[in-house]
Amino acid sequence: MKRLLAGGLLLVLAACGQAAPPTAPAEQAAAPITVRNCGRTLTFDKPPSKVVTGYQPALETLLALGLQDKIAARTAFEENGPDGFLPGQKAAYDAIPQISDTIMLPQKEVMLAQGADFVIDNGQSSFDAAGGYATVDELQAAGAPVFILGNWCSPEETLKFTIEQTFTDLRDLGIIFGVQDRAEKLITDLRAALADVEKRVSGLPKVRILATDGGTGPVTAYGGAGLMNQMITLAGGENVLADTKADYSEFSVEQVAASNPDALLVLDYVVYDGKAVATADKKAADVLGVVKNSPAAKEKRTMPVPAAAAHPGYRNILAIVEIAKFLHPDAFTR
Amino acid sequence: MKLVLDGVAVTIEGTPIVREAGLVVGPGAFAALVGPNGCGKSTLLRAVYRALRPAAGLISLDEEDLRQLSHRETARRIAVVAQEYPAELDFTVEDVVLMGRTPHKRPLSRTTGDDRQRCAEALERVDMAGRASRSFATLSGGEKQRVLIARALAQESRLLLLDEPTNHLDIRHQLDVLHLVRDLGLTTLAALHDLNHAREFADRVYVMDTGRVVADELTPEVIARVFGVRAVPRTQYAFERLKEET
Amino acid sequence: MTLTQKATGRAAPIARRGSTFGLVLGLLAGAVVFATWLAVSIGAVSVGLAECWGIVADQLFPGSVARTWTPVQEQIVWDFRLPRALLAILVGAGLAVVGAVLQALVRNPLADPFLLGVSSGASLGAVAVFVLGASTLGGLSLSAAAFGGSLMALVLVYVLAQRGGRLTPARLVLAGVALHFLFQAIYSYILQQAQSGRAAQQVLFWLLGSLGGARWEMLPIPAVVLGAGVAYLLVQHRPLNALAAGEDTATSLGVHVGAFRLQLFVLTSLLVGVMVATSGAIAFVGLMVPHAARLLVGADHRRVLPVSALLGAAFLQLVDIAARTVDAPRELALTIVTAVFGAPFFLWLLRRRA
Repeated sequence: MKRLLAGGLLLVLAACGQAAPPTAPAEQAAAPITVRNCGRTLTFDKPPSKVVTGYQPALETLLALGLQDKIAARTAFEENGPDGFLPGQKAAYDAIPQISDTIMLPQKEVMLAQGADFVIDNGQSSFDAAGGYATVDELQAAGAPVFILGNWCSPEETLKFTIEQTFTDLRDLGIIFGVQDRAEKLITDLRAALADVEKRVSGLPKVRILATDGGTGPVTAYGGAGLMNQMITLAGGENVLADTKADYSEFSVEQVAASNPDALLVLDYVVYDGKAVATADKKAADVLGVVKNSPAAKEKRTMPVPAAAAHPGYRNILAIVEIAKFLHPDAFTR
Repeated sequence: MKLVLDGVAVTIEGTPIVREAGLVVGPGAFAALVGPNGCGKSTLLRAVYRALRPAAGLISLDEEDLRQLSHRETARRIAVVAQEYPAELDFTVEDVVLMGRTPHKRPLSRTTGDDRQRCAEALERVDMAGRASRSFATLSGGEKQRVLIARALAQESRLLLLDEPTNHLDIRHQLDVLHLVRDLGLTTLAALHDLNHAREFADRVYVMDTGRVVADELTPEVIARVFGVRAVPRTQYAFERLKEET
Repeated sequence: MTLTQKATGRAAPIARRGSTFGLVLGLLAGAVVFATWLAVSIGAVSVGLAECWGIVADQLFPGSVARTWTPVQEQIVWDFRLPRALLAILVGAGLAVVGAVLQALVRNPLADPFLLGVSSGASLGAVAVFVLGASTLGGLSLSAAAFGGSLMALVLVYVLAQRGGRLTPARLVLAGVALHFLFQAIYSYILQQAQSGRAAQQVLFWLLGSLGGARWEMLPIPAVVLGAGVAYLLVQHRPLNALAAGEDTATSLGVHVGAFRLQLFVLTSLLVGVMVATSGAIAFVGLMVPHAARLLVGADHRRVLPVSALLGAAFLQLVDIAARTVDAPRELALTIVTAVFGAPFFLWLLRRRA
């Protein structure tokens, strides 16, 4: 099995991010900066300089924009194990103070006590009052506008995700931090990577993909809406569960067994909260048992995808490249 | 069947409830057990039918130590009308009376026509024939008591224990039930709360006070000492009448 | 001298209810077969009726039918649907029988495994294995942990509800409800600690009951436990009736109440543990089914137990069909479906008894 690790492109991007001078961004006009995010207008008098980052892709994205010195605190990423970092980012990760033992933001009081001027995360669960977290409105009132990556503002919006949103997020973050040039450079590189994949896989037969998080009944898998479905399609695959309008969801064993995939993508998060959860290998074995008559089972064709790559953040474009190489290896030797 | 209790003591969770109780119920006799609330009447009865294990003393049936018998053997000798109604789960009258056959049946044996015949006879004796398929829960208090007595009859035991059988009944049904029990002619020990009933129906009255059997007749002195009241006129009247009769 | 010797004349024997009982048993057995036929015939992926039963016939008598189906269809019918349908029968029957026994034990028709904390005790054991990992608990299997949890719940309820050497139904139910919430709090805590949004979602789905994981190899344990349990209970139907009439009554009828109640506790814990381990905690079956059984054939446990078992099997089979088809291809948790029937039923029961 292949690990989703750095390709050449990835190294280039990471190097690019670090090469950017950590000096003050370009002088900004006096007019306040405004950006729309999840139906709200975020307003900044000056670029944020005390940022708290949530789930992994949020930090990864800011590091890729060369904003390490703006980040005051972060959450923990131990779920991906020691190999779970993008190249060159481990040192930055270690240097930033950690304020949570999990991937979630800390509890409300700890969070508000940070005195942050910007908070960035995936999804809404770290802002749920019922979980004891500071809400988006509370943080906003405390002077820390909240930026949600991928427009994952609600379960419905999650279903509407398109990969364009990744570029929109990069552009918006460039505006907020006054680093538009870096954002545009990153966007250009990522678009080039996607175009390269598209060129290589075009005209090739689609590989039928089941993207799963394991289970023997029901099976947890990705349906035909949302980020993972986009990633599969762009990598030259076809989601076997595309007919069901769902993102991460439970599927009956019957439907999964009948889906007849050529290959599996298996969500990988080796350690969660200090406890070992079902490894990607175990989950792959379980699901291959359900689709035992499929080509995927006969060839044991599976690939682990880091959980962080299955959430909004520029890493999902890096993952598309890796998935494309896995699905169409010959296309990348030419 | 002759019931003898000698020096019986019962302790519940470290608290002595019955301290020293002794009494004798001769074959075919109807003995009443009276005493103020909390004196230990029910506890003593429960010790006799082995719901409780006595801390000391001897209980014997026809010279046979009760402790030598299994629960099943005990149930074939002693039938009980306790202060609980099987009214929760919609049992029919027949279901309730058939329960009396329990100590006579082996685990795998079926309920036979003979069992049903005995139940029908028992119901007839308590004047409840024809109500076999009624729901027990829907019966009146007096009828329920009759059905429980029928169950005791179906059990075919020779000693009958009753724990306040007239509780919650109106006066007519109270007398009804007591007449019925007395006319069965069984060896009977009944805890009663009404002194008049005890005197009118029982061959012998045992008086309990704070866990002890303190008297075996109901004199005005005993009533005054145990119940803390002067004998009420009606009791006095019945007392005088009883004297005249004997 | 026995009591009945003085009876005058021969009383007419009471008419037997045997014929109605036989009819009810027959009809219910038919209902179980029909519901199972339905369950095997329909699913998220449509397989033609001829293929569907051809597959079953071919598995039972290899070569007896011409193969007109694909390996995937065979897998769907034989590996998924049939074991799932059979598991529905076992779990439905098991939960209903447990409900009947617990209602007799606490003399309250409102009792069920949930009310006594037994289900949540089993869930706690299972969640502990699920989340903390089997190694943390010395390699205990899911079934064993669930059984341990339910037995612990019943023993605790039993101890807490004792007073003066007597067990009062009201205290039993109150202690059970308190423990139910305590166990729920503990396993919620474990879940929250392990909250990954992902693993927790799976456990949550399973906690509300699902037969989705059914496989052939899961069937033997519940089948043996259920078979042995029902056989034992049928043999003990008289003591069970006596106990349902009251503790003192049972003693006076020759039942050794302490020992018998302990046997019932172990048996019901075992049944609940095995059922929860295979299918999660499915509410309302244990409450509704025995009640319906009593409406049909009266309260005698010789009749209530088999009728409850069949009724529970048929009911859960239909519930599972609904859970698979209403929101297909996604599945509903079983308690969501049973609650649709169960909650109104519970309210009706309360009004009726008020």
